[in-house]
Amino acid sequence: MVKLVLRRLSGAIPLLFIISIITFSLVLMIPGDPALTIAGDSASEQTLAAIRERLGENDPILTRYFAWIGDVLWLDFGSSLFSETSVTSAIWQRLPVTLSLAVVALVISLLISLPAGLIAGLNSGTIFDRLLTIGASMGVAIPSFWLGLLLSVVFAVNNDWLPAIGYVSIAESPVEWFKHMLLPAFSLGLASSATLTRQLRSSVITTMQQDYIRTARAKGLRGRKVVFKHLLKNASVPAVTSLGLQIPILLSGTVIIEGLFSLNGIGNYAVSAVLLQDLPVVQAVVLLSAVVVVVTNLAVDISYAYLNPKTRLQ
Amino acid sequence: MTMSEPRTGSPADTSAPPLLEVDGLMVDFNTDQGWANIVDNATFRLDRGTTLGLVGESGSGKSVTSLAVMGLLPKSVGRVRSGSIRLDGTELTGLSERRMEDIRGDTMAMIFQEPATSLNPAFTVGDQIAEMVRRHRGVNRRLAWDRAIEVLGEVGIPNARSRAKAYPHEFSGGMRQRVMIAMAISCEPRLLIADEPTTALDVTIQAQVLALLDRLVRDHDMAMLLITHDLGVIAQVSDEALVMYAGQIVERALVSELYQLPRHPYSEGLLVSMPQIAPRTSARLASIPGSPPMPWQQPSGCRFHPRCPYALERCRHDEAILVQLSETRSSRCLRVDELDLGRGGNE
Amino acid sequence: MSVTPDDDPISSSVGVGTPRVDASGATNPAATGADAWSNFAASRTEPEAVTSATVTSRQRFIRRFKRQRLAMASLIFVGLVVLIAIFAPWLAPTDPNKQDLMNSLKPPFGGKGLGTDQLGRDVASRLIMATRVSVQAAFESVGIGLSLGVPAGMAAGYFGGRTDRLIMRVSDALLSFPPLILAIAVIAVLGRNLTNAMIAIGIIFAPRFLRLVRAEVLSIREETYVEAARSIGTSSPKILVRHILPNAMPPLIVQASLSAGFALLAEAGLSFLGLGVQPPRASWGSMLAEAAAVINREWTLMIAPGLCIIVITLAFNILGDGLRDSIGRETRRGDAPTDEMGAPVVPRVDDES
Repeated sequence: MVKLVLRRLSGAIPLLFIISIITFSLVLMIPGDPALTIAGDSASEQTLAAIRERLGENDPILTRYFAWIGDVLWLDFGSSLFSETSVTSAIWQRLPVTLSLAVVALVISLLISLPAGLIAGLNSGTIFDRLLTIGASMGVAIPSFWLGLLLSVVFAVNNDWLPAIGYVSIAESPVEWFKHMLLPAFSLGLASSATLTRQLRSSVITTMQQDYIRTARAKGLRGRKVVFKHLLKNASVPAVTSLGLQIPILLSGTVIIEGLFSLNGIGNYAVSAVLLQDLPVVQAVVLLSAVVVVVTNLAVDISYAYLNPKTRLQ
Repeated sequence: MTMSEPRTGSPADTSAPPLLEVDGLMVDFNTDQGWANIVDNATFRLDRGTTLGLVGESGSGKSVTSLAVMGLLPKSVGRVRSGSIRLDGTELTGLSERRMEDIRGDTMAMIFQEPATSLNPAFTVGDQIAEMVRRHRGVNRRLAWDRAIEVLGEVGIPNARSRAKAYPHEFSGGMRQRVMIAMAISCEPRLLIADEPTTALDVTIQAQVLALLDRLVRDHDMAMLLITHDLGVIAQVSDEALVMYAGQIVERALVSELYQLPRHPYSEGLLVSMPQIAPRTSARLASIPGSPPMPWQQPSGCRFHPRCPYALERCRHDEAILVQLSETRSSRCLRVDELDLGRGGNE
Repeated sequence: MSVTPDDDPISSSVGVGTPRVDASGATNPAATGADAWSNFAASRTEPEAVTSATVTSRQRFIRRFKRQRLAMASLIFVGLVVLIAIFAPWLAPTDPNKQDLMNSLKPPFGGKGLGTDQLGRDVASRLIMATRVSVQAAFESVGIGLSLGVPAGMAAGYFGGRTDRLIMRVSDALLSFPPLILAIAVIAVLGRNLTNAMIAIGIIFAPRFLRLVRAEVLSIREETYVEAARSIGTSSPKILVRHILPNAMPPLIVQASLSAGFALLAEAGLSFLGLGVQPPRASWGSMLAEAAAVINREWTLMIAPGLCIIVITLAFNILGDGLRDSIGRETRRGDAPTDEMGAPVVPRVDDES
């Protein structure tokens, strides 16, 4: 098991290396003169030179990359081109908001999809299954921001049931935190829950047809035991893969949802940085989100070893 | 009504009720073509301590019959339309799922064709046996685990104590089937149903597994319903044989009788297509031409007539019924009195 | 215990009632046993499975697809939307950008079509014009994804070795970026407009196409006809285009359809953020952003653009699913998890790295 984790980790290192190169090369892709873009047309030659110096444009590319990655490895993403604040601390400050949003969204989508997928899969072909399948297809197609708008209208604009904007720290008031998270997290999580429901349903159906399920029934095990022991562990392999795939989707979603619900999180930070072409911020967000995805994939890979003992072998 | 040679040597009591009594069993399946009859009026009995072979090509309804007995027909697809299945005096048809769960694995157990897929890849073999023991014997984990090791040893798994902790993929095909057998006998069932237990195995392993089954059945005084397409398998372990074709029993006989003198052309066809017999008599291995009919397009008259070398005009129209020929024999052939069947050639 | 019918059940009633059947038994009832069976077998000609063998895989694909009514309807619907996009300027009742501040925020169905937005522009006309943006977004991004992914996938699969490893590593790295975050990063660099946004989305699609093509190349590289083509001296690019591309087509079409659905959603999202189309051009996403700004005054403005996005995305998804089911058992991966763009993700089982 330890060996497997180590092997997976070592496999992730070249991947992270290439990710860092792609992230870094964003700077190189800027058409025209980046300094001019940042400072504006009316900037003096001195200002431009100063900006170029700060961007390190005078050094060879390789030197710039190693300087950048050297800092990044110590979690130093430099400072914003506009506010002069440390990107790392700005992100760190906003992390709780984005984390809350993503985690609550994930929990909501699991709470919906686990029972829904299981029941639909075990009762495939019934009315309930068909309705759920149609609902899941719809759920995948509904844009999170439209759902967010709709929920805001229903719960916040036309009624006064839930707050639609702002963030309250969980340390300050867990109840308020939860209330503020509910609408954005549900908007963000619904599409994921639809995807997960579809996935779980189809893997439950396939697994139910397996010979070992028949064996489990032939042994006289109670239906409950057949489902929750023999079926679930096997059916969860594709479902866990699908769950891992939800992480990048949820991260992508925070970018839109945070703006919509006025949550001052990392996604919001990234969007304003894009509008200002504040590349250090953009690079930091891009790199960190990719690292989160790589770590998630790693965790999914390792979970296979538990779920499917075959993968533990050579 | 039938009494086969007791192979265990213990005197068989003719008056005792049979262990398994199937009467007029009709099973329908929901196919793409609507509900189709898969097992038509199957009637047979199996006495304690004996082995009954159920023979036929795939699609003959033999596996479905066994699944019906186990109550394992896929719910949305198959159903017992009518008939009775009595196990040890208990009527199984119409029994609640909970009651069936109590009986399955306890009074009767089943071994399947594919040991590779019939064991759950996610759990150790010991765990899969022990959970069954716990379910039916209500013992604690330790005792159930000990029992798992005991039966694994009994079926000839070396180092059973350590192998119990291994996963199915760490066993060879033959060993996996031994694990399945160990699981099946772990709660000492009275009836063991083996559905093509050796078909998926290498030829050399087949004989070993058959011998193991034979020994276990004797040792534990179990009755066995052995389902196979291979008459050779039946010859090794069965007392009595039922030949099924297109959902119907077409011949019933003691195995020795069947080999000497088949009374149905289909049985004869199966016999002559056995590799160990055919080379003696014919340069070319004969086989039954064509394939069994789809359940929704059964031929009129005798269901076998399109593939029968002896079919006459009347075979196409008259329905063939199972005629009792002697105490131990029945045949569903319209020409049973005219035909002089046998495996021989030009005698 | 399979009771499902085969595609072409060999009729079991062949030979029924032919005189031969009667004769073999009746004329010589004594001939039984093995000889009777071999004579009988020899006298019978086995029915041959002629029906499906002559049908090409493409014909089978089309036949299967036609059977799926919902997917067919989606195809027609998508075609209709493309037509609307092409003829949008002629279809729009009024100039979609004409402002009429005296008549702003008119509710839908209140006399004038779908009402007006906060600048008094006609919502129906803007929706129709926005169809162009969506269709353009889908074509551009899928086009870019294909033109990056297909050649790279072919190179990776065909040359193997180091080339393959390098391409796959880059592809894996690209797959690690959350789609929208990579997209906004590309926009940050290239500037805000629809085409840049779609270049970003196309880059995200590329690894998905790449994997499909590579898998196809790997599976047929060793097949005889490719070997034969190679031995008669046909050059590599020719082999790839002639023999491998047609085989890779069906999965690519499926992926393209599902990707188009994703591209629509992404375009709407980016435009919603103000990173896609720029005003005054209308996009369903930017219309939603404008609706959001006045949500306290007239909330119904958000309904129509949202429904447009949902319906067309749904159509692309149903179409993609239907196409995938039509490819057939061999390549269908019904149970494999798919990512948000419908690309199958095969759980990694200890590949040596």
